[in-house]
Amino acid sequence: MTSKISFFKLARDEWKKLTWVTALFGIIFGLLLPFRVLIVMAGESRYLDSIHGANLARLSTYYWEQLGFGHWEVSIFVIAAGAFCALCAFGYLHSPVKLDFYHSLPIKRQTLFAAKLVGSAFTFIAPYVICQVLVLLVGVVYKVTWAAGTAEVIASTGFGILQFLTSYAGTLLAVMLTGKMLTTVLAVGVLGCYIPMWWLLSAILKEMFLPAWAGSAYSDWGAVLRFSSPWAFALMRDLNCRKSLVNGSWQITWPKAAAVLQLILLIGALLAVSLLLYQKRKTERAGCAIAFSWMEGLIKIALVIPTSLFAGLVACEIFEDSMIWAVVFILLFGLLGGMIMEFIYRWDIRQVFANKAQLVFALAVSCVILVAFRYDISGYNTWIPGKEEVAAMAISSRYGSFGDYRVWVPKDQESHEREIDYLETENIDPIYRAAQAGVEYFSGKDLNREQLEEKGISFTRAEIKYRLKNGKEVYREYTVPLELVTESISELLEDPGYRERFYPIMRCDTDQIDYANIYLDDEMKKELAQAGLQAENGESEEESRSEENLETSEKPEEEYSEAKYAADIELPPPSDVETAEEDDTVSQWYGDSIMIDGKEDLRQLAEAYRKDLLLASYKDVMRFSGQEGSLDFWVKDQKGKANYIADYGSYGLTADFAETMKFLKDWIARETARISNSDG
Amino acid sequence: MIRIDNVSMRFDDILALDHVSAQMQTGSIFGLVGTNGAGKSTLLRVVSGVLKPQEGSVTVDDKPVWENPAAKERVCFIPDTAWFYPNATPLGMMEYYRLLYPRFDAKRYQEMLVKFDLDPKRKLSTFSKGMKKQVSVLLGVCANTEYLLCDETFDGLDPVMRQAVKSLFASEILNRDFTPVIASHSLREIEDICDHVGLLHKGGILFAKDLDEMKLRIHKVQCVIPDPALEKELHGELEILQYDKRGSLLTLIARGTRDQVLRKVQEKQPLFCEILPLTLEEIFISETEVAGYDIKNLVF
Repeated sequence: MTSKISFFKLARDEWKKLTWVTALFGIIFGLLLPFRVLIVMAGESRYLDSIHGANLARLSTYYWEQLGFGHWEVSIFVIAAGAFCALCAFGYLHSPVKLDFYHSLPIKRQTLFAAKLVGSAFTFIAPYVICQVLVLLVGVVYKVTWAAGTAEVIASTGFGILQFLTSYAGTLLAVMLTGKMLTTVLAVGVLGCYIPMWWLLSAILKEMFLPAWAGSAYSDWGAVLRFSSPWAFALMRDLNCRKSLVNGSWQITWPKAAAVLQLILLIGALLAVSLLLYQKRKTERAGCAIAFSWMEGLIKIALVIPTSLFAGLVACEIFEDSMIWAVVFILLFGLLGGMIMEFIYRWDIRQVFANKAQLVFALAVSCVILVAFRYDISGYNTWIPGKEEVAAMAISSRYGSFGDYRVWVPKDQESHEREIDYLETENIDPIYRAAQAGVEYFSGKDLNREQLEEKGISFTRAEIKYRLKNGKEVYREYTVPLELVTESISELLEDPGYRERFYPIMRCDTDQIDYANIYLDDEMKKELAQAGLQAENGESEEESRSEENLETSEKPEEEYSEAKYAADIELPPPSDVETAEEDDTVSQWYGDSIMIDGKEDLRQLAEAYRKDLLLASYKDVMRFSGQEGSLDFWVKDQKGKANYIADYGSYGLTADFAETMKFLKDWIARETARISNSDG
Repeated sequence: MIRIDNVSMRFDDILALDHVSAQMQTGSIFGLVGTNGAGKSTLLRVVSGVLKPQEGSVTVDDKPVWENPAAKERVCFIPDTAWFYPNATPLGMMEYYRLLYPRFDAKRYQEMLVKFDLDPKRKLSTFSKGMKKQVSVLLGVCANTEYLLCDETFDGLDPVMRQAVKSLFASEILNRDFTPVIASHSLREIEDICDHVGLLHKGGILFAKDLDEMKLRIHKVQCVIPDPALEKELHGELEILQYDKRGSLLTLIARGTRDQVLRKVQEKQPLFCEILPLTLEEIFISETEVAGYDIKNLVF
């Protein structure tokens, strides 16, 4: 007899019951998709008609910008639709009256589950697909439709449905775990925020209490967020899809097949868990806050611990690491959190102190976590492996900047996640000394920073990597006297192989260099001015040196203007040149910087600088960008993955860098001669 | 036959059903009585497959009912509070029931709607409580299932409609294989329709018996016996369930056939003697008092 009940008729009937949801989605997505595109097209069409006349190419550009992937506002509505739809379809689980009806029907719960799922999914799928078709029809009306774009619309529609189902399945899980609409909404919030909350909490704990923690605790925020909940996962997947106009045609970064597969697997897993919970949950739990009573205590503990810990950390921040205040805050806010949880569970103010043991346990765990971090009970900050256990080490100081190390990678190599991974060496002695100093600093044995700084000792942060003989890799960051770091690195740089790895400019392809800025010091300005004057007069370098700068006053003003434009050198007007001569101030010939962007020039500059780097001391190379005597290389990202991104690395440059200075003098001479010739 | 075997059901720390066993025979009308909170609705929800008992089992025609469409299709449950989907009309609900109960008799349903003077196209949300009850009863009856579980079905119906529903049940029993199970907190509501009755109290079933059988075995006699010694003898000879004496008028309820009870009384040379009709209420009072319960505190 049961076989006579048609599943499809049942699903269709469920859809019919949610006609109002279909209508609502129809209005929302109608406005978001075809109506918006129509408005944009009508406006742009009128604009183009008035300015340029009919311009199909530009009109199609506007059209394709409006559709397909990359519209976060549509994605947000799709995800909200998924959550809303799940609440509407499975809201009956919160009502004992509705459950009496549905669960007495002669169908299995899994059949009802599937019928509800399919029926309610169509409340979204039908209007969404129709709206996407209407978007294409708008393109047909304006004659701007073509195959690639249509494919993108189809793909993005399919992807939108996956996003919807992901959100739906996530919300369904929350519905299955709860027995009331209010707690379902709260559960969605908890499921969405719980992992980021713990991640943020652990990051704050590390930042506050583990100074030896290597790397920014917040650096992986995007990755954590992406995998933190079904909703974030669905939303972040779409953000990976990009399209850009390249040479007049759209290039689309499609969602990767793996990403789509992940979404499908996630949907399948969430639905399977939801179905299992549906079969397990007791009908009589409808109207209760949580569908499974044994979960109440776990959820309470799981929420009170982070809540009270946050309060404790706030107290630490306000009261300057006062543990007494931190514990008071933990107890106070933990108690408050526990009371709120019990109130949500029982909806009875008289029972807010129920299950005291759970509360005491949660507060104790919070206090233990805080104390463990505060007093570094695990010895994280002061841990150092025995020298005999270490296979290799690496050190990287935050002093100075070579830019984002990930872009300084030859095209045929993969970049490491961390810069320090390029710098491993088996010469561990210099680094181990720095690490010991860092550990001593944290253990407060014999380093008092204030006293030492009064004596003129500067400190810096140094990241150290240990590769142990058992294969384990450990990273730490220490506060170490700058002098000690410099000494350690200088010692390591005596090895040419290490030197090549240490300076990013040594390992990148020269054709990755986009341009270079050179910030001149007085000595360099003087030498380069001489080279420029010599070129002006057509003399040799020696002659120029002997005659100093006398001829410069004879140059017409226009020539200097041209040179300034070409080389970004601030040449003074002729009237000022005499003054410059009188003052013997060569620096007035030049501004602060030279910019070089010629491909061949950059290659030669890099080659020359690399030769100098092999001989230069570490102290001379460490410079900050824009500082006098520095050279900034601007480098494109590796493999042209994102060629619009460039990063710089700042290196020291003095008049003692012979090869580089030789190149610069030649370059000045060439430029000056070129300008003279063009004027002549 | 519905067989309830040692069923226990607990809601957190509340024991709603405590090892309940009963049988509901096909072709009879089973009345389930008990005070509010006695466990009537819970028992019906267990029988209909809404709740899964923590202990024991429920079978419908020897098929376990839990998550078993083959058993559940034989049962239709009319809960205390009827639920209709939003904006539903009697006709809309008919379509839905037709989908779920393939034997649903749409023609009869529409005829009954007319007879009960219910507008088939009017939204059920605008119906009164009694009218909604009527629609749910009609849906349940026309679903054509073998068993119809009615939870407080007569509650909210006016006396005319109450009688009409009882007539409907009676005619269904005559015309097809139909077994209604009617839960009620009032014996008076169901005494004229039930032929089997189960009494629930505090989650336990006190007894479940055939009403006619009970009526045949218990009798109420009113008499005047002038000799106190003979009256005392009568006490020893009859299994008296209830005894009341006002002046010289003696009213007693005794176990036994009509002839047995009358003969014993006549032997005591009464000035006056007659058998009075027993209400279901009186039968229950008698039975439960014997079982050690004060029935007046349990029902009515």
